[in-house]
Amino acid sequence: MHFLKYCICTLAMLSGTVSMAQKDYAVASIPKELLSRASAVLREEQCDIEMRAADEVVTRYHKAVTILNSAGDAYASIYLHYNGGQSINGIKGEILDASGHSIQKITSKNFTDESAVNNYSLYEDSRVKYFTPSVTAYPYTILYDYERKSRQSLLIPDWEPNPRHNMAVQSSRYSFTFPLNTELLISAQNCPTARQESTGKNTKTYTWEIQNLKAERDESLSPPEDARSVKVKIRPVDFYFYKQKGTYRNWNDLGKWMFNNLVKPRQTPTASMISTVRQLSSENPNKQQLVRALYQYMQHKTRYISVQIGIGGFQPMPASDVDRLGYGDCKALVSYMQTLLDIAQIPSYYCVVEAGNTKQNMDAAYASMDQGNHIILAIPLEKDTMWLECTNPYIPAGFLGDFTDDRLTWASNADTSFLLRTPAYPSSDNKQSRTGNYTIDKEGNVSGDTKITYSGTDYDEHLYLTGIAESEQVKKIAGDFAIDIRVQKIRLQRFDTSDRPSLAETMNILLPKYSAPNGKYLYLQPNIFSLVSVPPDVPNRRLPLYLNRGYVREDSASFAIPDNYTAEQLPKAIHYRTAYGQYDCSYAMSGQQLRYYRRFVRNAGIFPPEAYAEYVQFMSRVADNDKNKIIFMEK
Amino acid sequence: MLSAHVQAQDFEFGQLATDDQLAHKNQVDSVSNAIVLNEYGRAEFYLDDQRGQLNIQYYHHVRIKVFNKDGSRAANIQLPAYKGENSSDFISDIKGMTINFQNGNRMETPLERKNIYEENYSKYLTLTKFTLPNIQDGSIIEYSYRVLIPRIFNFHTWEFQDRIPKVHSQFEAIIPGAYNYNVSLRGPYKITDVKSSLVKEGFSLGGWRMDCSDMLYTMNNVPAFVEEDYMTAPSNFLSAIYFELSDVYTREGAHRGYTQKWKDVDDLLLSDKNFGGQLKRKDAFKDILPAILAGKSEERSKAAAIYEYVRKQIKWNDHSGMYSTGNIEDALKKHSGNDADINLALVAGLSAAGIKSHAVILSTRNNGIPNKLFPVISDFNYVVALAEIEGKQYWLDATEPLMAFGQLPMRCLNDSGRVMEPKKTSYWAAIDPRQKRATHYYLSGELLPSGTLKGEMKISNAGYAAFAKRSEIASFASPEEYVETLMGRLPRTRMIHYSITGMDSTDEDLVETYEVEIPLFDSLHFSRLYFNPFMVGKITKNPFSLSERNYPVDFGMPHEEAITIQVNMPKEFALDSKPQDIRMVLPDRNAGFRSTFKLEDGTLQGSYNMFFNQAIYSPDDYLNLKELYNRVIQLEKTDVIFKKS
Repeated sequence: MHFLKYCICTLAMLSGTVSMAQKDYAVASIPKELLSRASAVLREEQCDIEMRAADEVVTRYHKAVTILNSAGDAYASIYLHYNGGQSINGIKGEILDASGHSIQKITSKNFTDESAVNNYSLYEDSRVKYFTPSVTAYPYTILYDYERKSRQSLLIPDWEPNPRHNMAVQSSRYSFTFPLNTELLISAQNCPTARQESTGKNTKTYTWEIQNLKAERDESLSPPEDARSVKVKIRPVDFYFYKQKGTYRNWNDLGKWMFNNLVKPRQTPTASMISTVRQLSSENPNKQQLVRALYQYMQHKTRYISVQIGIGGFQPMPASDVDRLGYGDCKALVSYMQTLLDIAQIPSYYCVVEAGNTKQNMDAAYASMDQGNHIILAIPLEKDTMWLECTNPYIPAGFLGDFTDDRLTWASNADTSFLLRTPAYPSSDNKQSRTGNYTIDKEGNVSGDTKITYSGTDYDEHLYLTGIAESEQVKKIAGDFAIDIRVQKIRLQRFDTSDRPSLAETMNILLPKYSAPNGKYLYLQPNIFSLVSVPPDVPNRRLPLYLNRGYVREDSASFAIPDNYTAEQLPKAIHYRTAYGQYDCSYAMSGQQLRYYRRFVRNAGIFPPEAYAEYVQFMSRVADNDKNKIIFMEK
Repeated sequence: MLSAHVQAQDFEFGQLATDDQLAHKNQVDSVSNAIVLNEYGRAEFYLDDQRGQLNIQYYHHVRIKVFNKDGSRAANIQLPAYKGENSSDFISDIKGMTINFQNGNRMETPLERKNIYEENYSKYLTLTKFTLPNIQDGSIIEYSYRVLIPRIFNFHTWEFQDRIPKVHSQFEAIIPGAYNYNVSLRGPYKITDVKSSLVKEGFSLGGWRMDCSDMLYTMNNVPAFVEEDYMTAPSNFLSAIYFELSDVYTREGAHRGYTQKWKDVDDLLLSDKNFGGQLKRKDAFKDILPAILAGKSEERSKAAAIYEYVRKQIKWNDHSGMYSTGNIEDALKKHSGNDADINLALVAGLSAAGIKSHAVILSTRNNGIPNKLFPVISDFNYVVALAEIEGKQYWLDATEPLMAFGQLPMRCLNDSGRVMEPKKTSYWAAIDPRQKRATHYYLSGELLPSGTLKGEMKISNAGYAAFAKRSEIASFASPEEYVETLMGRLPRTRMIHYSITGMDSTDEDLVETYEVEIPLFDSLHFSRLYFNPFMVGKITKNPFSLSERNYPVDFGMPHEEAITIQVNMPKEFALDSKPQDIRMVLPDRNAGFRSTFKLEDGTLQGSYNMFFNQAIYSPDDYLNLKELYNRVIQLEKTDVIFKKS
């Protein structure tokens, strides 16, 4: 990621406990089947949440985890994140040996309290208490308890007791206690047993439980969300949050509350903003043109700085501050842009999105405040919706890139709120096409001119090059390849006029000793730049194959070889067609010129687990052909 | 604050020089998204009358031009303030401004007080953070601040060089006559100009008015510092000026040496309860020693048993320091400690067993190289043990559970350590890892008529390579899963059987043996066969890419990589071509590369060896090393070509 665009501060979720029951934590009592592939076993986890009132939620958390070997050490560390709206109390714990006997007591004094602010953030309300046990004899067990008090009920810890890479789950329990007259929104997914209900004097408790889940293997190229994972989410309909009250049953309710209480009050325009918009409006009578002009103005004027101030990190900086200071985080920049559009009477939506290369949707069936980590802006135009990413100073209006493409966002304005999907980039859009004319000298040095055009998500990934010094461009480009490249001259050109912007990079390059003379032979791998990496074999694949985004790579190159060599034999042309993509490559010799052509299309999609092996086979055939060498012989 | 009798060398805040606006990005070097146009720093003594405490009053003022969006990072400022037990650094008078030019009109945007944030980073550190407003391409930003620092020993370090280039950097040091500092300049660049003058009665201490020396150091056109692989702490090489308090005179003319003799430092350390005090705690081992040494008669095996005991008992808490955090009995009981807890316990244990050993203080690689001219105790941040066993010296550090006896972690491989031998003056000892990082690949087998290569691939990892491999394997839940992942990366290779030895005994080489079948060819019905023998451990990219390098190449330890191949070929194949035989050595023969291949009695025999006998190479060797890698990479592209006879 070339931009730090994350912004909504994710509140630490898991929390709280019961009194430490003297249980049998001997390693011998772990069911045998849980030891397979496990470096750690979650022996017991218990998260008991008690909502006493909308402004008082207490979470008691208890956890016991056995670390079987050093690879599991990471699961022994305790990190308790908190902020100004919470307090953590009653931290206590114990470390046990393999037979379950206590070897060390842990108290809050053993914890280090530190700032948890990202090092790129100017301000965040975020701290962490942490403890890392030092045990040299495996296996050992660490158990601990703590209590977290929170003065809000908008964000409630979810339950996700799923086994992780190298960690099995022996037992996990989650309960939610609430006053009798409370209305709740509950989502329970894949729970093996129904919830248990119990009623107290004035309260009711719901409990979920799960036992004996085996550790799972990390499988590459699997879907971002495992459809089988167990998950419970609970929120009260009437909530309290940083001195504000609210009620919601769906995205529309929550969005209107958020927008009108947190965002709208920060959008008062200043006189200078009004006059800027007036001037740009008079210069751009066309609505779409005006949006572009305003967007460019905003990009030029501002830069992304993370400042997570106000209402749990959910409230943007005032638009007037952004206007004066020229910086803000994603919320602030979107809110500022929206204010400019409001002045021009162009309606738009403030959209919460889970950003990142992995496409994650907002949960259409369950509204909650803690989904999403980024904000973008959507503008409904006559024909379609124009999307604005406000933290990137380089991209043209309407371009999102692979940070937020093809996923459900939560769009809001003062009147309405709903889920809205961002556009996808079809495989054919994400393209790099390269041409090159090279000369090989007698020492094997290869030099020449090459031109590459990037579009779609590839455009986005390379656009940052236009914002750095030429000497840095040269280093970054050379750093992208696993061979030695000296870029001697470089020119970058943007073509942003159409809906499909592209970037052209023209370079004069030298590849020192790229080709290898050896005895009477000269070796050359004509595919210089486009090498695929082969995913690892995963025998007994469990999860589906997920190919996130498709792309096209097209290369044509010609090489002038030294006069005293001739090609004895050229590799055969290849044409592969599969469900996962296609690959063509060919070689031709005319005089002292070798011509090479390669086209690789990688499709996107979700395929059954059995497809994985086929995909690996396809990719390894591509990789093999990519590394084909031409061996020239002395005449 | 100080009275105004010091001539102000500072440049006027916000008053741009004509050159400032014209500054362009290639002014000093070619690497620049932003450039420091002018920078002035001043450090002077300040007496806190109420506390009777001497402080350094530091003032810093910078003007930077930002050329593009990437360069705007220079506008994000973080000022650290260290918190002490009695007094802390105090930052004040932060002033900042951005100057933009719009249609030739100058526009100023000031830094607002309320946009300066203080972050309580940890028990020891507060960060003051701010960013300058309204940054455009071509903005000129300027800021200044003061820090009051309650420590005078290092006066104030000044870095002339930074990650962005500087046009003009100036530092003024105003030092009262009674305080003598050793001043040293590091880095490749020369000071452009030094001016010295005297400030009459410039500092007053309890009514004693003393003259001050006023030194003004200037460096112009300082290129950006560029980091590359295989370097130690940037502070060793950055152009900067350092101060160490050497002596102080009293009003009566008495003199107190701060830069002590090593002998005094030795006495101090050896009597410190968190250093020498722990070395004497042999009692901690009294009861357990018989059990540890049971059945051991040789000194080497006794030492190894104690080493093993200490590292099993105390887990390193990732903290470095020269002093123990408590006493070693506690550390042994709590199973946790810093390097000093662990290695002072080790020395105590070895001594209890009658094995001659001493504590050695050193500075870790990222902490810089310690000053050799005079003792600077603050330069050291780590302690290890040096034992003499059966006439041989062993460097020992029990912080790493997977390290071999006698091996020091990479972080310790930094020039020299000071051996603290009781009743003797301490002495320098070059930290010599003795062990290499050596990997040897063996491939032996037979090319079957089907085109499959059937045979054995053995990877022998010695010294530091064994440590690295052991650590890698230990990061998996089991060796099976390591092998599974390894094979996942070699999709066409079928593994029949594997074995890994040396995982548990850290003194042995870590040897992986894989019985494999690799389908190299679809069949052997070709008139020519092209076989690339560099199947594993191939280097594709030269780690060195600069056209020159001003600092040494520091690999940490000598290293070598070798390949030995023996493959029986079907009879009908004869050799047509092979990778050239190469013997290439650096002028002093301390690094090189050899490679030979031949077909003898139907067996392809190959050997390849790249070696670096030194841990450190001087900048003069840089281009030779770079060329060596180029040749290796080029050779690895060539094949053994067989033809049917």
